[in-house]
Amino acid sequence: MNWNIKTDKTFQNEWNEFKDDHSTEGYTLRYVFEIYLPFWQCKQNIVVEKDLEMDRFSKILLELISNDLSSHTNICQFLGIEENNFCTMQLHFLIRNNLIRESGTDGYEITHEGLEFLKDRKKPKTMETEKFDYMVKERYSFLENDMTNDFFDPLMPIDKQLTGAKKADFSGYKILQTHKNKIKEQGKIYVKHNNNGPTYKKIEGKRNDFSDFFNTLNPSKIFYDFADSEFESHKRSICFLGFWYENKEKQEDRKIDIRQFKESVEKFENYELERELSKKVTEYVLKNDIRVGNEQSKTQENIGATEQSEFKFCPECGTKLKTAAKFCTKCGVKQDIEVIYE
Amino acid sequence: MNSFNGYVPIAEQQDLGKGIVLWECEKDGNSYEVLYIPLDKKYEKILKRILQYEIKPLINRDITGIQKVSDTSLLENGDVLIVYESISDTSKDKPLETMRNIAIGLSELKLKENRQNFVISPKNIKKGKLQFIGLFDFFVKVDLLDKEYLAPNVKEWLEDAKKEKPQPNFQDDIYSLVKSFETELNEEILQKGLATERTKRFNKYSDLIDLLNGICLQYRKNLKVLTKDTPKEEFLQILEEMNKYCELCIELKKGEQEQIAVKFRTENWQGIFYVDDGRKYIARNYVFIPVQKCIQRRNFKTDLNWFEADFSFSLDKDSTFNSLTYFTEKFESINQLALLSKTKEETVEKWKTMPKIEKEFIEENALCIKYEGVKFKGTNAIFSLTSDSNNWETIKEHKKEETLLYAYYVTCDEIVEIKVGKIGEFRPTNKKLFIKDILCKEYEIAEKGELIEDIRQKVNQFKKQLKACQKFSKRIVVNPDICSILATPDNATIPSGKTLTYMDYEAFKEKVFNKNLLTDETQLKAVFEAISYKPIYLIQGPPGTGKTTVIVECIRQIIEREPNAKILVTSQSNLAVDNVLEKLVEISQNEEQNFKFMRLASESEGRDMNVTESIKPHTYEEKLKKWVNETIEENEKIMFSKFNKQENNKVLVDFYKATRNIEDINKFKEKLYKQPNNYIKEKFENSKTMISIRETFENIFGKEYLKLKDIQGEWYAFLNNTNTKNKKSKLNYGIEEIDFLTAMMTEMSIIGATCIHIANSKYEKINFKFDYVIMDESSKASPAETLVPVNMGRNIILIGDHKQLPPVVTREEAVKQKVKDELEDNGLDVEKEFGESLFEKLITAFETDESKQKHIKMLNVQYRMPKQIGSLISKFFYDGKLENPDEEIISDFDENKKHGLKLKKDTSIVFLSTSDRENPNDNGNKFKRENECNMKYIKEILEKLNELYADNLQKNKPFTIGIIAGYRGQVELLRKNIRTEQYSNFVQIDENNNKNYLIEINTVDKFQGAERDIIIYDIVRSDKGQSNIGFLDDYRRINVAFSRVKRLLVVVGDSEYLIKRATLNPGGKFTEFKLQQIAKELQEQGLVFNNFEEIF
Repeated sequence: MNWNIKTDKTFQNEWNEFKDDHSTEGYTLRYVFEIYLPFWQCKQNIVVEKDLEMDRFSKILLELISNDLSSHTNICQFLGIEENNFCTMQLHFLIRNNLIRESGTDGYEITHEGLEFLKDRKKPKTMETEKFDYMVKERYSFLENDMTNDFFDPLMPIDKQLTGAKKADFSGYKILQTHKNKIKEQGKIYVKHNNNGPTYKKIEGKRNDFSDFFNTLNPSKIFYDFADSEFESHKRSICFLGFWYENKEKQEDRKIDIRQFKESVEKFENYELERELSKKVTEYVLKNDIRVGNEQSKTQENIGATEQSEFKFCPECGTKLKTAAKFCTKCGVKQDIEVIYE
Repeated sequence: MNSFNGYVPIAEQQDLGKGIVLWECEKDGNSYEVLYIPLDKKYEKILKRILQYEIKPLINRDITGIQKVSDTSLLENGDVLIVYESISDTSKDKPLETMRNIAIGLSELKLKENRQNFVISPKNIKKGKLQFIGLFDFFVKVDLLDKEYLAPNVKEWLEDAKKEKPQPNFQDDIYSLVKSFETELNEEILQKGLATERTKRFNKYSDLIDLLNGICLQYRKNLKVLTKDTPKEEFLQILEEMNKYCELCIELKKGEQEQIAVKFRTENWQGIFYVDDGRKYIARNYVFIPVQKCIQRRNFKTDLNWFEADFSFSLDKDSTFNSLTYFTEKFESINQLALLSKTKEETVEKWKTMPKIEKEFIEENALCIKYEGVKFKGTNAIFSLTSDSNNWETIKEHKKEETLLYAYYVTCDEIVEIKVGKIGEFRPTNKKLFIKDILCKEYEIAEKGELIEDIRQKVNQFKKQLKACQKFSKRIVVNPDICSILATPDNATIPSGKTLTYMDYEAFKEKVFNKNLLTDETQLKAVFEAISYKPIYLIQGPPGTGKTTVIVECIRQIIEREPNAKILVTSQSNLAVDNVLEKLVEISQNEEQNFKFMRLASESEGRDMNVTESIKPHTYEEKLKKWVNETIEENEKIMFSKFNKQENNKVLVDFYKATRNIEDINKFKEKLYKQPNNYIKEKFENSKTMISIRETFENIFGKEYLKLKDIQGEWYAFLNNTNTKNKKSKLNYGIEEIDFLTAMMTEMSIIGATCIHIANSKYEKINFKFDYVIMDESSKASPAETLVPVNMGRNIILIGDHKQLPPVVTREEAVKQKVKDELEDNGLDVEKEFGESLFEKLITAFETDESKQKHIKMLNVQYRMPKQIGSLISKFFYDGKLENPDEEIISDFDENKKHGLKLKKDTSIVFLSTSDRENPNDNGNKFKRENECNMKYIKEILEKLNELYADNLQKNKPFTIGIIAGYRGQVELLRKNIRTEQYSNFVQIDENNNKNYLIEINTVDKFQGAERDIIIYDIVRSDKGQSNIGFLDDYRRINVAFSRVKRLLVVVGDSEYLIKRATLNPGGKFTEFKLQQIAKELQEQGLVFNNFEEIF
């Protein structure tokens, strides 16, 4: 597998700044390039618990009841509505939320909670279904022990090691729609999305992580459950700068640093190192024996490794096929199957 | 026990005490369980509230593990009935599965509607279902809860007279559920389910369901798995996943021998296993998995062929069932389903073609400017257009029209459309286009792409049709059973339901509202069967047979039988919807029956033209306006009667209203000094603080008055914010806030809307579910149009007449050509494929299938035309099945249908031939066919009629004339040359000097659904030699044209050409030349006249 990295002077300043970053470990900077790393944007209906906000009509009814206009007949009479008018659904709502209760044959009385609510001292909890939009990190399928499908907030840095102050100053990632990377430009690296993206079942399996993630992100709400199994996922990318270092002694030993630059974040300040992503990309490059430009593996062993990555399996019958194969040699199934995300 | 509201008690099932009894009942041949609750003033209000807001929203909803509520009913004496669907015996269900199902159902109610607090104990879990949903509060009130199964805190709460202890919640429901199945559960569930402290219990249903799933898994049957080599660690992981969740798809591998292979997929893996060895079909008790073929899962389209494995996989344990038999049977049944599904898919795909191409046509013809670069400068953007851009004239037009442009581009994943803005400037010299005040951000649009005009309004109806087709094909509809009936009427079976007996019919006759129906058996039976034979019923209504009467009676019967039913009255046209609603208004006004109905129509300027005057007060906006005004009026009355003295002090009340929200004393004083009234000034000028001002007001008015006045102010502010444009005021219904439109809709039994409008985005938050969808003029709607409302109905009643005009295939020739090209490739004919309505497709299929014949009825007595014309229409278009009214029933029918002219021959049909007139031929122009000779003759006829009907305007109902021409060109010619105001006896003038012309000239299409006393039909087509009759071969057009008449039909045309020289289209859709046959018949009867003198 080869990456076509353009080595021009576009990133001369960056080169100068970071060329010696790993020199003490015996690595030399060979290339600086733009790299588009894959992420997923997911949308899902979730049920959350939150404070009930006082609405105008509830307030009117609570005021009436607490002012001794507490029978159903009197309330409706005062409002000028019939006793079974659709507006009376609000009284049912107040009962369900324990803000009033029925008393006698025709009356209501305000509960302790209702009184507190009216005085704006305490809010009852309510449930609400909302569409939640969040990001998930791509699973690098070729890596073992990958931290799979972690949730993240694009307004917060991915690197969890940063200090509170750095996190607070972070302006948020520029999330790009992957499909806009259609016209591939020479010298830019586009790391492909895994076909096996996030699904409802997978997210559901990580209910606890999801709950933590949501609750941290939304302090005024508490995640209760997923509302249904409807799930959308879309391919997204973030563009970083990649710094390709090679061991002076052993060319196969590489190290990739992933850093933010002006295309990565909304307000660029400095070339923040993305430790977690650097580690993953380096592993990814090594595992897949990724080489640069026209550079070919010279050893037999390396050729073997390259060949290995040029195979794929038929999704229908599992037959091993060349990557370029358009049809399965065994079952004949067309190989460019449209991938539908659940 | 006597029957209550038609529910006949068969046996007492359960006496719950306090007179509350669960009965097994029957109604219309169906079994129900009916909970009878006697009236008691102590709980009347609470019960009504529960019925309205807890039970009614659950009617006819399928909820896993919960007994379905069918109806609620209030008896005359105030007793209450809650009707449940009878539960079929599912004794095979294991207790744990029952528990899991109930938990799933309750979880759904909690998640979607925040419902909690249910009556849960073994006593009310019957045949796998939980009974008495929504009745918890009532059971508390009448002390009927089974305390043994209540959580300790709920018991404490019940005992607390002040009810200050925390209210029961869903965790207490889980407690009761676990307690009810205590003996079946493991320690983990018991510990978490029955903990005394709530905080230690399950706090989500999903946690309980997960544990129950795990236990249920253990009881599954087992399938032994073999692999070639000793399975590695990796495969064990796959196996573990297979046992968690595994989908299967069976295939028959065709090699030398056939072999059953099953594809499987888990959360992360996919692979294949073989059920037999391929040599012979010998049952073996294991399946073989080639481990090397297991790979990481890719995402696939989910289709019907995949199903979830209901057994577990094991390497060690033997299979507990015969895998070969199992998979063979499964394969066969899935294959049959797949075949049906394929036909259905193909049909729906075909239905989608027309709206798809119509939509594409509009899109293709929309303004499209290609650009190859874009630069943002402040709030503007400059687009560099491609070198071939030359449509500057069009761009100029769009600039003038201030067309909103969208940036459009296609990527590998999707089509992107981003709103950009309006054209500011353009420069043809350097191919630049400026968008001022750009609406999007730079990164949102591609560097290369297209700028297109906003055509959403135009394509909207086609999009709705496409969406309806998609939903239909995925069965995301209110009644999925209807899908296969509509898509594959030849093969699908209709659920048998009940068979109606003679006794039922006789009993029904007693209950008919409109007694006129008793004299028309087909009308009566149509109503009787339409509301009984579910879920689909078709009524064919030839001209003048009383379709609207039948629809109205259907509505009345439904409301009478099912007072909670929701009905949608729909049609392709606004007029047809209003015709029905107008009748309902009439009935309500006569106080025969009261209907809660609402008309939904577009808010656009066109509504004035769309909604009939008498129906306008029933549109949402008008209803809301009226309700707000009445409510305010009522409130004012109450305040006045209660605080007469205070309210009379109007000046001071107004001053209080104007200043009550002021918190700053200086601002108050400012207002005070502006007051012209000295009395007010004196009262407040010495006040130094806002508190003292309040006290002064309190001293004058009293505290109570002021408080209520404040609340009144809030209430008015709330009411004034209820309208549709400004939906600030909301109500709370269940878990969500709803606007007033939605809230009012919950009160309505009947909604009237056209089939396209009902899918308007305005209502997208309302999940329309109707118990009945009644669609008039169904034969004029295309299948895709029909699906829009049909998808929303549990039961469907379609009314139409496939012997009248079919759906308009398309108005665009180019679209037709495109579809034609596409179809001809597949050997299909455009008219045949798209000129057929869903109604026609269904009725044709039902007619030939004995089991479905009871689902159709033709109304066979016509009341519009004189008998002579009725018989002609019947003979030529309805195989003689259409009858005239029986003389014994309407003895003066003929008398009432007389045209009143003294003709030389007693007839209601006159064919005035132009054959002997000068140049009777048409202009031969295919695109604009005109016939000057006919036009002149029609003018003469009008003059004659104007002369003969000298007293027309003196009649109670003056006669009207309709002039129908088969060709648009001729209609234009007639309109240009005939000045209707010339014929004074056909022009009404009201007291305001407004003129109402009683003569109308139009095409057949425009006249469908209408009627006139006199119809003049212009054949137009005439040729010197033999020639093709053109689209007059379509007998349905002739049927519609001739059957609009109430008294006199005048046909104008070249009889010689028609009878002797006109020919049918060779290879056309129609094999019989009906128009020619009619002309011959009229000639034989001596009704063809060559000049006026022969007849007038």
